[in-house]
Amino acid sequence: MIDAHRFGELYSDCYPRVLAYATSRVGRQLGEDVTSETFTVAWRRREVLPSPPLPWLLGVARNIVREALRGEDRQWALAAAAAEREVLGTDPASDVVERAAVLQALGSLSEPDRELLTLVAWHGLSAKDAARVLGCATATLTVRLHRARRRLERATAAAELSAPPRPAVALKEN
Amino acid sequence: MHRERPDVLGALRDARPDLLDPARFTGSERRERDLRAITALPRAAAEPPRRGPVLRWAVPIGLAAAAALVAGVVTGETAGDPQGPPAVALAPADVDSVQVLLRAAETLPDLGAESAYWRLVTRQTSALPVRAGGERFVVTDESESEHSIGVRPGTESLRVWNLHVTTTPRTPADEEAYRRAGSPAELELLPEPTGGRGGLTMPAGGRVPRVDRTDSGDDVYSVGDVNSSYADLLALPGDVDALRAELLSRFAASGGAEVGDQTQWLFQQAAALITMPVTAEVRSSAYRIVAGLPGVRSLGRVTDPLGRAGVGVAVAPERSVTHGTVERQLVVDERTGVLLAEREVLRAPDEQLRALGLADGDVVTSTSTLRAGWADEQVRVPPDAVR
Repeated sequence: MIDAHRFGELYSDCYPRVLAYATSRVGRQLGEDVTSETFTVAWRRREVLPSPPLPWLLGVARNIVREALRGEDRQWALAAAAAEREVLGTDPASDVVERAAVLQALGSLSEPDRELLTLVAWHGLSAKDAARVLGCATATLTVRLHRARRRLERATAAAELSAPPRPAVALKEN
Repeated sequence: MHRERPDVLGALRDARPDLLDPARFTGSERRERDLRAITALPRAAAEPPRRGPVLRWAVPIGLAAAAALVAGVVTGETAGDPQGPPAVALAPADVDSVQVLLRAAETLPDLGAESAYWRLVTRQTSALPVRAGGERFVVTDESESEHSIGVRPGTESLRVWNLHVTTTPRTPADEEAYRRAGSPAELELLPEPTGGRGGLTMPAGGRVPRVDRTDSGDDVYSVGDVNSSYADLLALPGDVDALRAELLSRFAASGGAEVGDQTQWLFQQAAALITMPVTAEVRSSAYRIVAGLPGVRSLGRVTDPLGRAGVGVAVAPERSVTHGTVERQLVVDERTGVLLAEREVLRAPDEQLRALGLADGDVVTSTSTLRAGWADEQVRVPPDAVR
């Protein structure tokens, strides 16, 4: 049984990475709400928290975001779109070609590919931990990751050919 | 042969935006405040054995509830009960509503011959509290989206959204407030009382259409968190008990109680399945699952957000993410069994929403089905659509 002290340690360890993940999905402000709810769930379920807790926590945060977005709520849709623009946006004036190209390539992939690649590359998860977040077998995930990585590689090569680098997504809506 | 560059993940790792660096989040202002509030909450009690239709609210439902809890604005029994949240006993299912849904289940039209794409065209509305020019008011945001699910090998699935967007003040009083604010081109979404969601702006006028690719390998749809191919959708059991068991196993796989209440989840998943390319038996059983949910009640004759006549059913209210307590409703064409619309109706609005003129019974979000059926052609993506 995890007591309040141990939960506090776990919270300190995992909070920045849960918030970084939630921010990548819906921006900082809603991300803080998602993080709060995630740890509220963790506290209520602290008797059965797996070790390490991070993949489980990210899985909970992911489910909270997905359920909110599934409702077609305009506020969440706007927040998710704004977060995507912010995350994938590049600055043609200062970004090196390679960075702009890989972000443009990432933006061109399907949502499941993007999610998997960023869980590994940006949120630092191993294939095994990413499989826990996504709720699939590690073997399945390894195959998916291999394919997603090849698609990213092709898209990056294509993006590098198209000069000058463009923003991955439009930075302004009219 | 295509050669894989070993460094593409490394390049992606290096391209991570600085704003996602976890080191930036260690000093979050809310962090310690939230921790104190969370650890003051009771642990969820183990569920005692019960008989009869008893629905247990195992965790705070939705973000608004959790945000209220962590901010210390706790009301009701939840925080005071050392054994955890209270069990909520609901009345047995209303006979009328069950009849309505069972009749719908029996009269569903034939979907016609399978083609390359399943097309679902919907119209969404959302009542959004906003502020601009020192004024606070409510706008109604309306848009259409078109989901095209490719079911043949080599076809893509696309979701085109932000189509035909209009944003208009909800009432004459809101119109007046909008004018006083100087008829601004940009509106700021009103933050929740707990502090989240501030600073997010939306244009008062049109928006560019957006398009998302929604397939991954053979997977074209997700039931809860479990991805499904078209073959998986066709293989869903047609028997009502088997389908319920299958959905419940996916509820567990999606995080179960962590994502919310099982009844609400089943209601949403079943309603979504009805509009998908599934067998007639599955569509029929999806209606039967809704009919069998605890607390489902009949609304009698209603019109959907597009003014189409139908009959309504509702499940017990829950805390919504953005609109206080809401009741989820379905509007069904009783002659054809077609699902016309799904909507959320405000119940017990909080003070902020009341001050903005929103009242008990107001529809705060809706999704109306404009078309669900097979098509030979892929959806047309507007030339100015942004990926």
